[in-house]
Amino acid sequence: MSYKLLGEFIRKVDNKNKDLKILNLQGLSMSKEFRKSTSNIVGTDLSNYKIVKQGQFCCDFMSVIRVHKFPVVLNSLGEDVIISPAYVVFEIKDEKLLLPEYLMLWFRRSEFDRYADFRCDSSIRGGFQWEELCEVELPVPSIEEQQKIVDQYQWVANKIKVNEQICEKLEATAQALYKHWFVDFEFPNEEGKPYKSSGGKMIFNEELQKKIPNGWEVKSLGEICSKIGSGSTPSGGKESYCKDGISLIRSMNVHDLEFVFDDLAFINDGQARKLANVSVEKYDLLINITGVSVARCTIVPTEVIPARVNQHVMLIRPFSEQFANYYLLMNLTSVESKNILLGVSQSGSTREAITKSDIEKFKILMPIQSSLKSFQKNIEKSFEMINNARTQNQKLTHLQSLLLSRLARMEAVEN
Amino acid sequence: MAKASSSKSTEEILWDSANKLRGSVEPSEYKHVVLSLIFLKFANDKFLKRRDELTKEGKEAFLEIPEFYQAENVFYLPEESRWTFIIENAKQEDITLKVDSALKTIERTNKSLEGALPDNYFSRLGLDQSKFSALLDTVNNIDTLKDESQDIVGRVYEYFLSKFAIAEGKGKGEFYTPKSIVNLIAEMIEPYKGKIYDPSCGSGGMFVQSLKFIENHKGNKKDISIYGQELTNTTFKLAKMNLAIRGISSNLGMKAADTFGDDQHKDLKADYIMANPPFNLKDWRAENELTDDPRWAGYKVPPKSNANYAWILNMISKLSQNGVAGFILANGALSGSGDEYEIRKQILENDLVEAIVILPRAMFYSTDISVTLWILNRNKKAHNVQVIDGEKHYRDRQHEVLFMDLRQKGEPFEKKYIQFSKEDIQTITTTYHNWQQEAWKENYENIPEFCYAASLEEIRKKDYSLVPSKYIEFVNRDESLDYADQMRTLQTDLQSLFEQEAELKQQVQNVFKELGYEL
Repeated sequence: MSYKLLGEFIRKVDNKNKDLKILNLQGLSMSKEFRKSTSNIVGTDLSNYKIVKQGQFCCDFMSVIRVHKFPVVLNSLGEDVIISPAYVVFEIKDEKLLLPEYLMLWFRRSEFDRYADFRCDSSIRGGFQWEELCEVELPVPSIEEQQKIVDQYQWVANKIKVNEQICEKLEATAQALYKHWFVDFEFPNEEGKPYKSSGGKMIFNEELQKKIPNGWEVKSLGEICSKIGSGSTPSGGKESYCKDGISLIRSMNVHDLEFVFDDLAFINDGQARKLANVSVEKYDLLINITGVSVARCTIVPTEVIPARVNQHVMLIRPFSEQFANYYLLMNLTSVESKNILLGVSQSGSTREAITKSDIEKFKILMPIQSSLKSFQKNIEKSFEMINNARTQNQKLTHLQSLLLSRLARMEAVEN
Repeated sequence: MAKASSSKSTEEILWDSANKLRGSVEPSEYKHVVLSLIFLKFANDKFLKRRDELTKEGKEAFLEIPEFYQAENVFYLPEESRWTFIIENAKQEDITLKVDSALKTIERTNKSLEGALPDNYFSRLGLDQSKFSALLDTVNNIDTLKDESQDIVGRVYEYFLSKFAIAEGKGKGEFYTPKSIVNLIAEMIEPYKGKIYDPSCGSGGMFVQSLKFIENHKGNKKDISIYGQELTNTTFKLAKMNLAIRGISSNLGMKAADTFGDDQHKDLKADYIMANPPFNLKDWRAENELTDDPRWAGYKVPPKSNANYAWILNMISKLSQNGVAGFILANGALSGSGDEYEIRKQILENDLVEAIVILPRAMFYSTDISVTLWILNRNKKAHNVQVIDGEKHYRDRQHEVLFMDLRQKGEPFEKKYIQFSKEDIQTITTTYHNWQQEAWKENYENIPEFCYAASLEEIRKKDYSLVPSKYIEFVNRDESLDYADQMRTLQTDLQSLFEQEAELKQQVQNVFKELGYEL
C-alpha cells in the first residue's frame, strides 16, 4: 500500500447559513475539537456564516503559522453547526474510499501539525492553505482496515472517558460523604446512626457562633500539623532539571483533588539535599500558594515520592495520629474554605499569594478522632482508585498517540 | 566615565538615560535628535584629537585649515559647531537654534557631509528645554575615543539604531535591518572587493556590515566602493551620518530619491548587491509609468501592485558579470502568479538563482511576515576566485538551486525577537559554501528539514515555485519511533494498573456496602 494525495479525496464545500436555520455557533479549539464560540456576535449577520454538516470538516488555515498546529475539526456532534466565514469547510468525496474518522485520526497526529507548520513557508500571506492540504500524503488502506483502526482508537478513547467519569463520581461521593458527616454533622455515632438527627449532643461554640457536636474543637492548622512549608527552585532554574530522579512538585502539578503528572520536573540528589526540609511524605497535602492557581489543593500520590516542592507549593503535614489528611483535603477544597483562603490572599499584595502564617492560622473545625479515622478509611480507597484511573488515562493517551503514529508506519498498518 | 558595577554595557547605560529624557517626542523623531548629537560629539572628539596632533607637530599655523583635517578623514569644525561651544550654551534658551546652526556649519565646511545632517530640525521640534540640556549632558559623557579598537561610536550608533527600530515597532523601523541578518548575507556572499550596491540602503547597515566583514577577514577596506540609494530624506541623512561617523566614503546619489523613478546609479555594475527593500510595496509606479525601462529588458514589466520583482530586476540589471546579490523579500515572491510568475520563470531559465533561504519569523522589528533571503549569481559556472585566505574553487552549479530552511535556527533576542547566533551563521554559511565548491560531494549533503539542492528540472516540474518546503524533505518522526519498545512498556504498565483497578474496585464496593449503599 502506498501513500496517496489527500487532494484526491476531499473537496471544499461552502454552504452559507442563508435562512438562519442553524444557531449553534462553534469555534475551533487547538485540541481539534469544537468549542462554544466566545466571539461577540451581537449585531453580526449570521447568514454569512458557514454550515458544517455532520461528517464534514472545518479548519482554520490562518492560524497555522502562528500556533504551529493545524486546527481542524470533524463534525461528529450529531447536528449541523455554523462557524465563522473565515474558516474553510471541506468533505470527503467518497466515504467508501476514505472514512472521515480515519482522516481525522491522521490529522490528530502531532507529526501532522509539525508537517503543516513546515509547509507554512509557501503562500503570499504565509500559511498552510488549501493547496498544501491537498498535497498531504497519507496511507489509505481498505475501508475495512480503516474502520478497524478507527475502532481501536475509539475503544481506547471510550475507556479514557469512562475513567474520567469514574473519577468524577468518586470525587462527588467523597464530597457528599464529607458534607453529610462533617458539615451536616450526620457522622455515624457509636450505634452507627447519624449523629445530629439521632439527637447527638450539640454545644454552642463562641468562635464559630454556632452549635457543633460535643467533643469537637476549633484548631488552627499550625496546632495540628507537624510540618508546614514551601521549598524553592534549585539554582539554575528550569535549565537544571533532570530527566528523572527526585520529583520537584510545581504549582502546575497541583490541582484540586488531583495531581497532574504532565511536566513533572525532576532534580538530582544534590539539589534535593538542599530542599531536605520540604521532603514530601505519603499523605502530605499540597497547596498552591501563589499565582493564578493559588489555593488549589490535593494529596500527594505515592508514585510521586520521593519528592520536594518548589516555592509556589506548600506542603501541609498533620500529625499522623489524627487521621486528618483526607478530612483536611476535603475541607480545604470546599467552597467555604477557598473563600476564606482567597480572601486572605487578595487582601495582601496584588499578586495573589498565601503566606505560611495564613496557613498556620487557618481555623479548622476538628471532629473527634474516631470519626476522622473512619472517614479516612472510607475515602482513601476511592482516592487510590481515582489515582489509578488517572494513571491509566495517562498511559492510554500515550497508547492513542502510538496508535496514531502507527498509521504512518506502512508496514505496521499492513500486517 | 566611572566603571559600571552592573553588567550593563556603555550602550545600554547611554540608551537608558537618553530614552528617559524622551518625554513626548516620538521615537521616530527622537532618533534623529540623539543620533545627531552623538555625531556632533564624535566629530568634535576626533577634531580635537587631530588639532592636538597638529599642535604637537608644530603646525599651529594650519589649525584653521579644513584640508589638514579632511586628509585624515576628520571633519573640520568651526568654533560655533564644536561640542564644547554647545555644552557651554546648554542651559540657554536658544540652545536648539545653536545646535541647528552647528550642524549646518559642519555641513557647509565639509563637502562629504553635504545633505547628511538634519536641517533646522531641533528648533522646530519644541523639545523640553531642561530635558534637552540633560540629554546633552548624557551625550557629553560618551568618551568616544576611549578605546579606538572598540569602535565605540559605531557600536553606540548601531545599538541606538536597533533600539529605535524596536521602539518604533510594527509598521515602522524600516530604516534598519536586524544585524544578524545583514551579517548572514555578508558571510554568504562574501564581499571581499569591488563595488557594493544597496538600492534601498536605509540607514546604511549593509555597508557597515560589509566593511566589518572585510575587517574580520583581514581584507583591505580600500578595495571596496559603496553605492547606495534611499528614498526617505531623513533616513538618507541617517545613512550619511552613519557612514561619515565611521569614516566610510560612499556614493549615495545626489539626493534622497526613488530607486525606480529616479535611479541615481544608472550605469552601475556592482560586484555585490545587498538589500532589504520594503516588503510588498504597492503602487511603486503609476499605471503607464516605467513600462519600457531598460532594467526590465528581456522580462515582463513588474506589476504595479507589488514592487518585489521590480527590486529583483533592478538588482539583476546592475550585477556585473561575476556579480552576486543577496537580498530579503517577503515570501510571497516565491510563488507569486501572473507577471511575477513569468518573470520568476525567466530568471530561473536564465539561471540566475543560486539559493533561496527561508528565515525564521520574528526577526524583524517592523513586521512579523515571513521572509526569504534570495541569492542571485550571474556566474554559476566553475571558476576560481582569489580570496584573502586562499583560493576558492567554485564548481559548476548551472541549473541548480540550493534551498535552505532556517526556521528552526536562531536564538531569542529582546524577548519578542529571534536572531542568529554566531554558531548558526557558521553552520548556515558552511553548508552553502560547501555546496558551492568543488569538493561538495564529500562536504555537502541534503539534510531533511534544513537544506536541499534542487535541479532546474525539479523546479520546472513544480512549475517554477521557489517555495523551499516543496523541495526540502520532511521527515515524519513517527516512522522512526521505537514503537515496539513503547508498546511493551505500556503493556506492563496497563496490566498492573488493571490488576490494581480490579482490587480497588472490590474495596470501594465494600465501602459502599458498609455505608449501607451496596453497589
